[in-house]
Amino acid sequence: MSDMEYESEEEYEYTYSDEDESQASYSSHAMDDSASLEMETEVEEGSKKRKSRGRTSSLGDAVMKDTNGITMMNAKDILPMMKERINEVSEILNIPPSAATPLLRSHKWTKERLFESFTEDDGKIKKDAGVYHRCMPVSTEETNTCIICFESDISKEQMVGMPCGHSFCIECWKGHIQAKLDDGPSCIFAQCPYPKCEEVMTEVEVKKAAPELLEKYESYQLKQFVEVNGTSRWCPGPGCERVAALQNGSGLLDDSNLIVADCDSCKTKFCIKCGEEPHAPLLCRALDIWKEKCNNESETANWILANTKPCPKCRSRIEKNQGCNHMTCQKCKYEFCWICTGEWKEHGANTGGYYNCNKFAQEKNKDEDQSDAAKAKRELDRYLHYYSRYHAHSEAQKFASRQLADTEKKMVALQERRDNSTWTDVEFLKSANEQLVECRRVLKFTYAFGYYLTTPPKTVAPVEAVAKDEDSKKAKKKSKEDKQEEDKDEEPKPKTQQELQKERFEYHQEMLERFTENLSELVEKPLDDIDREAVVNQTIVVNRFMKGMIKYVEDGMEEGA
Amino acid sequence: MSGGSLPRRIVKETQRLIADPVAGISATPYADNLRYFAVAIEGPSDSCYEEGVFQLELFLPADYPMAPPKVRFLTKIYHPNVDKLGRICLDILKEKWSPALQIRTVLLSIQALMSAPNPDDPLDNTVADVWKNDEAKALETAREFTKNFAAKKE
Repeated sequence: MSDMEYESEEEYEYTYSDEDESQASYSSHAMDDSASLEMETEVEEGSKKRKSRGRTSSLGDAVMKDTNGITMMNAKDILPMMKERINEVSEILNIPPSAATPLLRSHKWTKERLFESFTEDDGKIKKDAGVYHRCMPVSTEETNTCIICFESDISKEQMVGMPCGHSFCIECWKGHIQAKLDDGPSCIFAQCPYPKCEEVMTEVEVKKAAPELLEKYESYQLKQFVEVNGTSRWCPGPGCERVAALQNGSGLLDDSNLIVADCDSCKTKFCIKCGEEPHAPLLCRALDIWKEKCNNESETANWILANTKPCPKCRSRIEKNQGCNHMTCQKCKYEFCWICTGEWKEHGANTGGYYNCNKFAQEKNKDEDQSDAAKAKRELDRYLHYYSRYHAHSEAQKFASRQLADTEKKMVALQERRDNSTWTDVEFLKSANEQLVECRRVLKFTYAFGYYLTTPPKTVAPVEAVAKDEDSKKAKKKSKEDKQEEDKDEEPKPKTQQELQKERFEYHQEMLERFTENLSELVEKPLDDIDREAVVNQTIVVNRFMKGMIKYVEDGMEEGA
Repeated sequence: MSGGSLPRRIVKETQRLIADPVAGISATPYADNLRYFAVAIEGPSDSCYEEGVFQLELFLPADYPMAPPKVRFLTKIYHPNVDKLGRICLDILKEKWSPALQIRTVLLSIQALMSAPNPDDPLDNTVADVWKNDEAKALETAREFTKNFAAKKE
């Protein structure tokens, strides 16, 4: 029986590749020749071998591959990196390390940036960073009175001075440092306690006056370094204190690709660029824009504009929730026509009948209604199309995550039910569920991506603009090659590059969606009906479609590039 | 709580305030709470608050002087940097506080703020708008408020 299902799975593949060839340039990454060969081999293996350890781990490795170039480390392991940068700047600019730290901080920890502005106007940047006097200390006034606590006769050893010449007693320093630490991360920007003095306090003063608070102070320095240096990010897992560091590449601000970090401690997967859950094929900027849009009240405003009209008499907003155009305002009882907002009394046989007033017909004849309400409604419908699917997959992702959590129990049950089966024999269920969660996540974001794929250029997400730029270059090259094939297709109107891309994208999306649903169905069956081979193979197939989808977008929506 | 162990700094500040008061400003601690002060500031001459006496309350929190004192107008005042509850928008009472500042310096700053209102950094937007668009009217209203709510008691 399992073989039967198997056949049908292969059918699917072949149907897919058939379509592939017939649709000219639709050759997909997921299904290029070598890939489909590989898949067949795995499929065979799957039906012959009972023990599936090898396959499961190869699937696991594939997911890990995304973490290339990322090292997970403890916060304290990143400290040498920070110290190295501080010491280098300190040596080159010939300033104390305690002055180098605030200077680097005010330049996002970029040495090059700092050196550049340093050569321009070192006085100004030293002042801005609050290290002017630290680079050129003034002599501290000899005093035995602390201007904070008013104590006099304080011994020299009990006074701690700032490079700006102001000094205070150790007790007051302790109070000042503690108060700043209580303010949280901003303590690293704390200034000299003297009124309006802008020289910053550093670890030097903390060490002298309150060594017991140095560790906490330095942990805030490190925290800021991790957050701002542009190559590292705290793991967003709850309570997790690991740091993900990007080993190469142009840093976190480069939005041209996606790199997923996989925390080795709490197992959280996240985008190292923005800290959100992995969101391929959408880039970080586009994700930002999409999320903002979804949260934004403006969609509500659009909806109101499209679906309601003010009563012509009392101006109350009225939503039309039935088909009839004869409206009666609930508030002022005025009766009017929804279409033309004219008084209902005037609607009769002479205006083309009650439900068919001539104004309606006129409007309908217009090809594209350009009124604000109609435009808003069109835009709203388009947004709702993508949002509803985004939302549906988001919910399905949550469901799959819950199911994944229950999988272990299911696996134990399954093992007990089937005699002589080992743990590895039931592990396929976990792999399948993990794959499902991931597919739902990718599918979710393909709908946000799809929404921006068709937005008119004016309001386009930046990602897309880049993609289009590349397209136009590539398009010129490709158009020659494509022309012949297009002619063969006998298409009345040659499609634009953008339309073709959209079609291909939607094709990938559709396939991924279809196979994800298949897998979902297979996994959700009652335990006794679960068909191991079918699940295992569907998992592999789905994984390929998912990667194919992402790769298609990563390659600039260019097939076979 | 802090009745017996008032920090030396607060004791000294209070002594100096009483021994060497600032012209036009008085600050007297309440007998039952030495961290709580009754403050009166005379409206600066040549300002729309001239001839008025403004009552304020000042409280020194437990972590004073590491944290700023809390000050509030009790007398109604028409000022763009003071809201209806009498709260004051002044940098040294917030992020620019320094433990080396004192009650004396704070009250002087408030008096200076009365001489030079800053409608560009308002706490009360409606008042600030009037101040920016029709200064004559704003000054007139402020004078009226001063007369009605801050008149010197004979």
